[in-house]
Amino acid sequence: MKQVSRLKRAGVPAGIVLIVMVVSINTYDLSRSISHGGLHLLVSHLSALCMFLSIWTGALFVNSMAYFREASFRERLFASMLTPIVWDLKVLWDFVGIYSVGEIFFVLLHHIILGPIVVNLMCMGISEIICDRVMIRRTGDLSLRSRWTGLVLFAAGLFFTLVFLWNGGHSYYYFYMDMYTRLFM
Amino acid sequence: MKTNNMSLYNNISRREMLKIAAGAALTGILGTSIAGKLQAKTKRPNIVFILTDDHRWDAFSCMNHPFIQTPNLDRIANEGVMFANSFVTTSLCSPSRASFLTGQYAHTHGVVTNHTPWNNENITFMEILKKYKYDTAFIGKWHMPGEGLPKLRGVDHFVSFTKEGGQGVYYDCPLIVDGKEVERKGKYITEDLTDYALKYIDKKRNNPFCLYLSHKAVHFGFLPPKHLDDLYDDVDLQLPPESDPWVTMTNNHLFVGAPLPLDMLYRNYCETVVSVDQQVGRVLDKLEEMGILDDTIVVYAGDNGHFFGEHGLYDKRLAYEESIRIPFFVRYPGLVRNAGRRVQEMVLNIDLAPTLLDAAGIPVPPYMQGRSTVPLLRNMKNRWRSSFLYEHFPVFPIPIPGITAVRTERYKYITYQNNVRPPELFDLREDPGEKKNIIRKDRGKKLLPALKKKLERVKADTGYRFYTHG
Repeated sequence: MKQVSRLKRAGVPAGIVLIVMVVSINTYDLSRSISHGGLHLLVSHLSALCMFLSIWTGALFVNSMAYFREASFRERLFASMLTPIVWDLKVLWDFVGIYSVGEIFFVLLHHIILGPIVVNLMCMGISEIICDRVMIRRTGDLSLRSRWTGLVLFAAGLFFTLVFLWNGGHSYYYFYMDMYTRLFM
Repeated sequence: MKTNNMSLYNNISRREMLKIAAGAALTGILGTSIAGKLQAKTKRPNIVFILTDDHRWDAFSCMNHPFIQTPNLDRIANEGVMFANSFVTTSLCSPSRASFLTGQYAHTHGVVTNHTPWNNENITFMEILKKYKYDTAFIGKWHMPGEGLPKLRGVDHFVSFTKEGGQGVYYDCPLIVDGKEVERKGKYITEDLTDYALKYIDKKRNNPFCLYLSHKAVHFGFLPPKHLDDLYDDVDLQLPPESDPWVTMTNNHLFVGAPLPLDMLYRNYCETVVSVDQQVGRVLDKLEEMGILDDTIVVYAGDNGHFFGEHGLYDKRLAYEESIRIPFFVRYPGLVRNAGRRVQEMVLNIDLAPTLLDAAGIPVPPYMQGRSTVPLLRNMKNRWRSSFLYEHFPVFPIPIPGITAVRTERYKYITYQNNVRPPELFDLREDPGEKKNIIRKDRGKKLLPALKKKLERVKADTGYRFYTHG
């Protein structure tokens, strides 16, 4: 019963966003073969939008749905990170057979891999803050005002997002490649 | 009867004397003129090599581009020759640039990726020209890793930049002029480098000169100068049907680092191409104004191609035509016969160095792997290559594997490192867009053994070795 409940609490929201990601990625790739120009563009726009939203901001939906299904914080965190982690693993798979194991591990520090994680953390933080406010209004439970988890998640996510985007992403990139050169070249 | 010289003179009439004197004078004048012509013929030509970045082979009005106008670049092709089937042996900035300089494959000169340092033991064609009394200048993008800029042997005047890892920036790019950093606030780089080039050309000199003008344009950033900023705002870009604005942000293209809509990037790219054309026009005008245009070998080439949505791709590196084809134009009336021709033989970036040396009457060193295109310029019948090796080495952190491919006049066979992607075989005559991989079809299966053998042969002939990364 508990397992089923956990599935409903956190698994269903995570699964929805994961399925949206998988379907939109495949739809986008297939859209290239649509010969009708207008239809091709429409399908590519819609599928690309769904792809980006599910990968980069899925936590907004996942966390909110799981929150009101009474998922615990740990369950919400896992559910929110599932889609970006799966996407990261898909991307990492493309490095296998090309680079060494060490280099593939080093890819984990690339801002394109870490980006979806930190942005989803930020989104989860936003979702937590909003959901707490809604819950206060619904239940009158003022103790929720002092919860700091949303703020911490948002701040942490925002901090790393800014680090990765600083100077158009160049600062982190050159630091990252400098480290790569020292370690592997 | 005794005769002597004196008696000969005594017997010549005044008329005959005048005739002899006139004849002697005429001989003297003609002799000087012939001597002058002989001297001019043996005088080595000046060389201006203009190299741009990511300039596609078809982004010219002379290649019937739907809207880009490149009258100055067209002029080089129309008054010289266009090598209509020119390619790079590695479609990536640093390896290709090193190949232009050395006449060698990437696996030979060692700059296999944008991270592999330049080995200053490499001999450039400029070093050789210097030995034959050329004045030499390298102005522009060097972009080969190492500790700053190298001390290039054989280069008298070296103007380059190290900002953004050697890629430079389009505006306010500080330059390093013969070792000294110079601020360039308010300057647009293509124009700025051209200014330095014109100053160099204008110098009084006794020797022929070689100018290597290497632009940052039209590399990503794709920033045109202000006066061209909205030139193509309203045109129908006619991008490939399989492309869409999101190409640059999907399928790992984010690793290349251009997270902007494809159509916006392409519009800026085209406008930047026009700025290059305008600056090349200034160089041609300068040479013409000085009366030395026809005594100068002018070469224009791109360092590699670029995808803009073909196959759903962006950037370069892969072995498809859009990536490996480059523009390669040569203008030099002293060699070119039947100007305005399109030469169909396959010419490579590694052919530049041998061509320039041969055209200057300098022996081509045997370690250069390219071939001189002088016979092609002269429109002479010649046994030419029927295939070449294309190679790409993994460049961290781009998830594109190592590639070896053989391209013949009709077919292309592509293999990938560790078979992470299935091999491909294209019939370029039937399928120039490389949409149909025939490797598993009956026809492909019949062609495959010979192409496999050919690939092994070109690898062996060039001393190919694989680099796991660079």
